[in-house]
Amino acid sequence: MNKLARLELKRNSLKPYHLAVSIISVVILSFLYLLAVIPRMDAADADAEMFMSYDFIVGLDNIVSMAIFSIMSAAMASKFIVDEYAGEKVIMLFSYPVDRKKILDAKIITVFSYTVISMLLCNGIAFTIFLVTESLFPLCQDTIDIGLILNCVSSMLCYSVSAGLLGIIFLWFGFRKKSTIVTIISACIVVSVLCQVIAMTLFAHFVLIIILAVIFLAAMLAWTSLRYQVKNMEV
Amino acid sequence: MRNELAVSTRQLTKTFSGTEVIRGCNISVEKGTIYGFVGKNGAGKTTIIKILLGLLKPTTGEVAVLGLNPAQNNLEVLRRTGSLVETPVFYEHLSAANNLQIHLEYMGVGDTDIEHILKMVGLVNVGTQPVSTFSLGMRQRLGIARALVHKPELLILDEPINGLDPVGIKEMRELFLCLAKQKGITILLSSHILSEVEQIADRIGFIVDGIVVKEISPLEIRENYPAGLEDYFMQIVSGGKVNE
Repeated sequence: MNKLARLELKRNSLKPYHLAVSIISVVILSFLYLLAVIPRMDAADADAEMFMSYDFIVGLDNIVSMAIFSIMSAAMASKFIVDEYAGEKVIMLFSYPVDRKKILDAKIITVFSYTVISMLLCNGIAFTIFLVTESLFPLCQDTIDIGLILNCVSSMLCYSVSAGLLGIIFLWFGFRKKSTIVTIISACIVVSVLCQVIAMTLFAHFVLIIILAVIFLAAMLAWTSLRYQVKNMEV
Repeated sequence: MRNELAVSTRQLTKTFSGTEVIRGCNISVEKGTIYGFVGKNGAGKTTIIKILLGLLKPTTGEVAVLGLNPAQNNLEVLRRTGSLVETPVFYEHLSAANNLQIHLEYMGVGDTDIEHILKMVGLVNVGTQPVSTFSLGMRQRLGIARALVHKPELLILDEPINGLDPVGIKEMRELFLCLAKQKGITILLSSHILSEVEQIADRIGFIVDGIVVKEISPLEIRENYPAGLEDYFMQIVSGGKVNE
């Protein structure tokens, strides 16, 4: 599997995705400061109070990151997988004496891993810079403690894995129609609804766990279905 | 099925959405020979080639490639076969050598002189030039190189000389003859260029509307049909002689 994943990286250029991740990092960091500065912009607004908590800022930032990275994952999956199985490349792909399902697994694992690692790195760096500057020149009135840092790390991990899993679900939509557009549009629609739901249950951990479990199950079903489709494909 | 055959099909059929595009097809390709596959556009050449490679599953009938059923032993057939189907596609941002290197890694073959293979197909001094800058002829040469590079026992080539100039066509003709006669590689190739098939094939299969209606050697055609292969072909595709 390692060899197949390595070959995926060799034959597909990651440069556009590295560039995208760099831009997203800047956007995420800016977004953190924007959230922290909201109460200062309109101190009279009672709703602005919630932005005074680091837990809320981190939670909201994680949701936005998950949305962005899951759409990036969908774009990457459409390039790495949908394009290859939809176009003329599929003949080349099926001419290799390697189990079709293993090639698909390698592709999905590559896209999933890239999404999770890049989101972890991106948010990890953004949170670190934000919390360091907050400890020196605080914008927010909340306190930074070990509980907050643990919450940051665990939620970041959770949302990063979710972004990767969502990418697999969006891939399933796109693969059915062999269409990049369907992949991206399905990603945008599902993510916008899902983010609304998660944002409403930001501090209801039980509901959040159920949502994440559903995402995990849906991704596994999508993966199984994709493996079945690829195994039986005629080109 | 006789074991000296590299490829054989018996009563092969393939149906797409209720339409039978391959109808009771029989082919026999002996090991170490060159088999030319000719027919009009849409006659079923590429469909049969895809069935031989396991890319399509036959609806009914028997298929044996190197003694194996490509539907059941697909990976083994692919490991021992080199192929070029339709327009070859590559990893456009990579060089010819890198494309072949990746192909070898998928094939699980390590000790191959890529430069020698590129030289064999006439792709010299391409260095690190990305494939996206290659001409149609260069891409075709690279497609043939990719089919060859893992040292297969059988080459299945769909229109391998498409896009080649007369020099390229002559070079490929010499290469195919050398591979078959000196290295014992079996070659099954389809082509619209009848004169080429006549010059290199040991046996020619004529396919009309999904049926191989005749398998014959160029020598027999020359002896029995002085008007030549083109007239013979026209007669076959309009008359539909059935394979004995």
